[in-house]
Amino acid sequence: MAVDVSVKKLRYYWPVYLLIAIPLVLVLLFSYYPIYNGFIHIFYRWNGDTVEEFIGLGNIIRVLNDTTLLNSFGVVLIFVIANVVKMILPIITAVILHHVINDRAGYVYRVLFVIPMIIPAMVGILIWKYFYEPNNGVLNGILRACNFLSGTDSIQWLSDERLVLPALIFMGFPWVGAFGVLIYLAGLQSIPEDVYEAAEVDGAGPLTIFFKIELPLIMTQIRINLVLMTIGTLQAWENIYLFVGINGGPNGIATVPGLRIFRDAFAEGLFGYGCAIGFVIFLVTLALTFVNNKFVKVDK
Amino acid sequence: MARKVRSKTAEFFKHLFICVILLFAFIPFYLMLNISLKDNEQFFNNPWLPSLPFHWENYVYGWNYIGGKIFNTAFVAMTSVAFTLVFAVVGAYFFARFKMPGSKFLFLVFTILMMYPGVANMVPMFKLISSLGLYNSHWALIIPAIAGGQAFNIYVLRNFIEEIPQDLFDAIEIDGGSILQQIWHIVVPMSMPIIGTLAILSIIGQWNNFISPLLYLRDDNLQVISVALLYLDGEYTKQWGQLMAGYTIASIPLVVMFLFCMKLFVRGLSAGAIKG
Repeated sequence: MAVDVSVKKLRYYWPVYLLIAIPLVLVLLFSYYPIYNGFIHIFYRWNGDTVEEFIGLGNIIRVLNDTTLLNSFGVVLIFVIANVVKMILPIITAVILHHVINDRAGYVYRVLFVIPMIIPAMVGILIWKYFYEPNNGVLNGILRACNFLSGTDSIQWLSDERLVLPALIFMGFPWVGAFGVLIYLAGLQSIPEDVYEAAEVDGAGPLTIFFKIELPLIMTQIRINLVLMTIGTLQAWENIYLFVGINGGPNGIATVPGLRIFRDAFAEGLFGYGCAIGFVIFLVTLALTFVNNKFVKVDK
Repeated sequence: MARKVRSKTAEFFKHLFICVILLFAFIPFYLMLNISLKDNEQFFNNPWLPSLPFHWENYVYGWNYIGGKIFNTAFVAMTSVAFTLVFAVVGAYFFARFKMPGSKFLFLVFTILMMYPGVANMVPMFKLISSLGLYNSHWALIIPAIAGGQAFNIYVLRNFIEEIPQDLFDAIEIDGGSILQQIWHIVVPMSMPIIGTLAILSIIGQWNNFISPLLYLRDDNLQVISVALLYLDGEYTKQWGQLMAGYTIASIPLVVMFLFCMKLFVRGLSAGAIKG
């Protein structure tokens, strides 16, 4: 129940706006001003420093004709779809955790899920890089031990065009993070007990309960995770940069749009063009978020 | 929560499933500790199990590399998170409790920022930071982090504050409590789990962030842990033991923080803190 303030009452209520003043000033100066500056530079050939030349729609025309850029959006779309699939196991984990009868064990499990979050992200990247190492790596070691691979052969997981995307997608297996699991768990715990009782009276099995009750009732949580995941995936580039380098792996096959901006701007000095790509990412993010909110149904 | 026991076997498989998932989740943690005591030869021969002798000197090396940077990192993380949350709580209270003319538009002004990719902003931001004279100072990391954190934190906190019962606010209004008293005596205590959760999430984010310190800091004595470890990683022959010892030392402050806030954090995420 919020206090409804009409325009007439503003004479008394205007100081309320002061509550939002500091965040607003911060955001205008440190978010909107740089965005505005970037937007202006879409129309310039700009190396970030001394070269600054007005070229009109040049960068926009270039974006529209850039097939490698289009490919990079294809790649990021593959990552988004893969990440949707990767949401299944965390949901199942949360449901199973919810059904653990021993409350004490349930709590201990929740704490244990959180602990790996505090390990520096770089450690995960280093270990997965080592996992895919062609000569000493874990994966080829396993394949050799099972005789799928002869002792002298090695598979170049991160330098083979066909393998680098699957390798990047598989990274982080089994993709169950505390953040997602605990949010789903929160949704599950707010399902009233009598809903379960009614279902049991009707003789509903665990699968029916999952699909007819639990899944629809945690749709709110699934949707927020879906939205955050989509935004995060579309903007992500650091992991790929750390994993396969600034060129995006063999033939740039793993280049996502974010990495492309970084490369164009910092390696090639095409800052104006980088800004143009930034706005395309923004528009795609906006569109996908709209789709998520429109088509993922939430029963309130 | 105590639903009827179906069967012992079903219960066993639930525990088994969760333990297998947890096992995978702990592999990086385990390997970090395990490798931190090895030299490169031990690591390549036997990465999975501990091997003697333990190379404790890896920790001395790691400490010399990053020890001096822990204070910088903690200062940047703590300061930015504290200010971010103070402003975000007050801002979220504004959106949750008042429907002012323009509220909807203002909310959009904040939340739409989540959709704009930070990497596209790096150069204009760098120019702005330089022209404000903040280059090569910790404030170059802190102030943009405070501004950048407003969108997500206000978004999450607003949902939470909206569900605080109206009675509590009415009671304090009758007693003549001002807006700031309402925030301090009702909003903050009631939202402590979610505030704690957001704080931990932002601190972890700051701890892992290496792009902006790489961009904005020139002096080595100002540098933060993540960048120092990146340099260690990039040395000509990578010493895995030293590197992992460095990362272990880097995570100790987070472990300590987590031990203190564990209950708050688990409760915050489980209490339906983050929703759409």
